[in-house]
Amino acid sequence: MAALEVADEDDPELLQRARDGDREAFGELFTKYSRRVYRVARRMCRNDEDAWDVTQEAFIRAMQAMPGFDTRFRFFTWIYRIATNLAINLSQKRQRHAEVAFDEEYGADGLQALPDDLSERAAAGELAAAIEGAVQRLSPPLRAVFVLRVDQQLSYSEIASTLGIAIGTVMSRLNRARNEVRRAVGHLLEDER
Amino acid sequence: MNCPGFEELMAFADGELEGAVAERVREHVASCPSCKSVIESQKHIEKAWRDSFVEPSELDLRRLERSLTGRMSRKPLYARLLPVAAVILVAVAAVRLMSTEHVLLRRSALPEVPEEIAQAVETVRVTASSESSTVTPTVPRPVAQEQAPAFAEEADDLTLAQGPETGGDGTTPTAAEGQLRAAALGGAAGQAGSGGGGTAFLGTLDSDIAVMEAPVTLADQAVAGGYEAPSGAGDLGTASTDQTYREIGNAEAAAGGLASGGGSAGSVEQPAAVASSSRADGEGAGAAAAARERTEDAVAEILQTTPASHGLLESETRLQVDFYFDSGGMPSSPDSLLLDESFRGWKDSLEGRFFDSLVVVPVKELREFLE
Repeated sequence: MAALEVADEDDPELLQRARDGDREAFGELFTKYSRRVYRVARRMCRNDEDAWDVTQEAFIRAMQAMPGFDTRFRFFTWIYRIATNLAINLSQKRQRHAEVAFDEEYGADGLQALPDDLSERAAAGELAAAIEGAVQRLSPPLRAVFVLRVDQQLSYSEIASTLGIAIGTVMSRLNRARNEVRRAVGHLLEDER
Repeated sequence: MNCPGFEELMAFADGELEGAVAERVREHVASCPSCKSVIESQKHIEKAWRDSFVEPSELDLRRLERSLTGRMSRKPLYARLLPVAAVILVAVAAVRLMSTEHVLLRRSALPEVPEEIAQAVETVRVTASSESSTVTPTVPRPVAQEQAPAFAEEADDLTLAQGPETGGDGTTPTAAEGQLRAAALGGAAGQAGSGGGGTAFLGTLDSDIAVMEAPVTLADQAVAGGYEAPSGAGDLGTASTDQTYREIGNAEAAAGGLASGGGSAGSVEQPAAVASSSRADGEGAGAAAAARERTEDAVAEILQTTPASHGLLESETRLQVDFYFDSGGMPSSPDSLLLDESFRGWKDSLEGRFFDSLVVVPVKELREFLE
């Protein structure tokens, strides 16, 4: 999914039905957004298990809070916000406890350590792996902005709305995140040339 | 013009610049190989990362949907956890009953738990359920009667000793232990009673009825010791602290030692799982007040549950007493060992009935005692 059509319009009737407690309508929202929410969660989290947990919890919270959802707002912005906040909280918790484990997995430079027999296959994805390592080393708030912009390709205003921060903050965080990622993988770019 | 800064270049590449500013940067980039290279390399980085994403399989998504559907269709968490809480409350109360007054528990006999193990496991994690939340937990009889003969003897000593003693010093030894408040259960109303009939009912939330035997066995102990606990019924979970206790053993029982005592074991309004006695009506009132006061410290609450193993809401958790069990369900902390030693298999009935829940039961006094 190179480009995400996150800006598609919500179905007001569907949202209203879900808001009124229609489980089927909420199920349709799940079908429509679960991949995207999972993707955000997976980009924010370091492993699948966390990502699935965040995704599930995001939908549960959304369903519980659905009666209070203002249908003038966009559902994806809302559920992205729930998911990113959950992921940020989880990442911060993980970060406090797992720095050592992370270094073992990615190495000090954020490069993922792979077994030798996979080295050839991994070479093609080395840049991506290095970027992933660098992204995971970003602080959760920076990572959230980076994920929403680079992976989800949201506009700055959508990111601001999703995270509840000012556009200026979006820009500054995105700038820092991009610089950190560039520094982490710059040597690989040089090698490619 | 001078080269734009990286942030402005990226904003341009992101299509976030407008009007004259965008035009100015566009013109510059068109004529500046360096800036063009920065943009291209950044795009290269970001595309490589974006394209590297491994989409989840349909199977994974369906699994998530099933799990979600299951969780959404379940009853409120407090309703599902009420029986669990009740079991724990009963067990804790019983431990307290049998230990605080007569120091019957031989803590030295409990195996030591390595610190790393105790730290590595989670708090009473009740796992695996696809069933509805309607549960009927059955708590095995206390060790006192079956699994631990030595303990049983001590329990008998306890109950036998209570009659005369309470008649002599006017204390209300364990009334407080029975005063278990279920405030944190969300004001859930549920019946909890017990007595000679053999069962207690815990939790009428949404018509759920959970049958427990633990209070009965406690009552049985009281009988063995000279008290008879007649049938009784009460509410567990109405959070009415003032109504959360009742003494087993009235003045008559206290005076006679062997007379039938009115009361119940295993409720809140007519309280849970603990038998006690008072000497006389007048003194009983004072003892009741004292008991109520002590009850405040004996409050057991479910303060936090988490939906999964990661404690997403951990920051809201207040822990006072944790009962640790390892992934195999074995006790791995002094508290859980004590609980298990006292009520072997007490948690067995929970297996398969709840899914992925974390129950945290803080009972301040218990910890203080254990420590």
